[in-house]
Amino acid sequence: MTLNLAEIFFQQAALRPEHRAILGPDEDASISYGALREHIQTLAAQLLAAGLHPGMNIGLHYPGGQAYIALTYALWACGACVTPIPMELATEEKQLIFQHIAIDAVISTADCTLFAAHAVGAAIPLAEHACLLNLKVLRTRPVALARLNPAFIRFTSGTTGEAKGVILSHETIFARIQAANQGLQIDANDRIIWLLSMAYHFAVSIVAYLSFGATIILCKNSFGSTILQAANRYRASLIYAAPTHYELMSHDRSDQALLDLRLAIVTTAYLRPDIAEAFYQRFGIAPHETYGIIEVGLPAVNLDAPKEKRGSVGKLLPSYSVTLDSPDENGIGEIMLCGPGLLDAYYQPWQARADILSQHGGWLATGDLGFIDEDDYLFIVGRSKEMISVAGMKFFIREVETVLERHPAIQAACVFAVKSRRLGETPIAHVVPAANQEPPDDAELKAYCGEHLAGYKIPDQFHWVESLARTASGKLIRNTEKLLTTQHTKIL
Amino acid sequence: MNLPQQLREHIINHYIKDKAPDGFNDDDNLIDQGLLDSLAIMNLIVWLEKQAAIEFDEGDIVLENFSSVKALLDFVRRKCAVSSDD
Repeated sequence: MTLNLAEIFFQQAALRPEHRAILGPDEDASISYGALREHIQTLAAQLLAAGLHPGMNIGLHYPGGQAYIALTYALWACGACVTPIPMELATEEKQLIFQHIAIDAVISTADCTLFAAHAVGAAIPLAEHACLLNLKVLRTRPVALARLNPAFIRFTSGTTGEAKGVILSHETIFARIQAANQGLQIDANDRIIWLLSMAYHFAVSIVAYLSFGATIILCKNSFGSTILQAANRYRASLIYAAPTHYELMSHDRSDQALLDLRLAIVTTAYLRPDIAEAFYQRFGIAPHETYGIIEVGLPAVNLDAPKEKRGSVGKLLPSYSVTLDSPDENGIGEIMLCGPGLLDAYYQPWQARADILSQHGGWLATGDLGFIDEDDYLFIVGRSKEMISVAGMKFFIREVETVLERHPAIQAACVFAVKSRRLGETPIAHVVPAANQEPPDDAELKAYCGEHLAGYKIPDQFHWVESLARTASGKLIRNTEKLLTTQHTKIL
Repeated sequence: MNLPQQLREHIINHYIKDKAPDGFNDDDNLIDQGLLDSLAIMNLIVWLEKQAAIEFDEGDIVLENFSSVKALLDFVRRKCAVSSDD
């Protein structure tokens, strides 16, 4: 019998119908497990009446919040798979998802004009000011997909500009949350502050909280004072947030404390030591850094030594194993993992889990570089994949270069990361002008990029160069230090 | 287009369009009306740092500076004035 995460939630709701499932974001707003179950079942009935059926893949283009949670679980209750379409992406990026993944319909905010070109029939209104729009499917569905019992397909652009999707089945997500909870120990006594994008973070967070009977606290905004007020009002026991949120809480000028907090979980990006220290000085709690990746889940959390081993994502949780591939003289190598809940498949080109793992002797090659210290604590020092992380929002360099190289005045582009105090990293571009074309200024290029890319992917600066820096073998040099000192090649 | 104009256009296009009630103006509260939620604020900070080269100091990211379009424009003008004095 196949597992369904909606059923897991319904079982929790049957156990504790009066227990609060969600608190906030408005004052006094809350919904119990029982009421949320009823709401999900009403939405599911609406969706089934609108023609939804098991096996369909539905795009979810909707802001995070209680309604997002209810819609996701309603889709699962119908037997459908969910492909999140992040609201903050540029129109072109959203359309790319539909070109690469077979999506039968989309649930969107009331304005469905973005999807009108591929619509089949009129939009069907749903609760939550949402609408369901059936779509002409633009590509063939992989035949093996249905056999996986898929819950999520997370679209990611690929290293070579080729798109791919990460497929997570209900069973895989359930295995992940069980493995993560060996460390987090979340239960019905927990009240968890939520501040992140639900389009990117849902599987080993929202699903875990609702599967283990915890209460999710939604904040009205992410100012330090607001987070602290919510934490105190609802007696939060756990915060799951990005480094910036911890920085904002640390700098709050009120005298609010975090008296009920047992875990301050840091995700999405590296936590600067000064933020960790400021948070510790202000609240007496050392933030717990984590290692979370879409292909694996949450294999490591620095639970037992967040202060003593600051900068480490901790030891691996009990169910996971790690090895380092080809470590250098400093012991730094590519992090390879194995354990429960590894991705079921890549969507395009189709690669089942067994095929992915067989390439590396049963290990999942993460693309991240790290080392393990003498006490078995894992430290992440960089990425072997060509990616940039701006305030925890990650993207492949090649997708920005591809957009730049489509501009008529640009012959070639090389994008690389520079360190940024607040954002972690930020992109800069070297661009080679096309022959007989007047190079546009930065403002014009940024506006052009803004038409094709989400804002955080747009390079901060453009340097016009005669040619891109390459190694002797012709490979592009992306070493930031080298690129920033190659002044002689600049031509404008 | 100067920075305050760019910022106003960015806020309206990305956070207000389709969501704001009729008659919305620059003094209306973005937070109370739920137009700038936690994710929108982070995206707006990224935009201001990357596209407008605004450098946030400790204590800049507070509710008062983000409460309305007018408050944000005033904040950006203050930051630009300080950096041009440096």
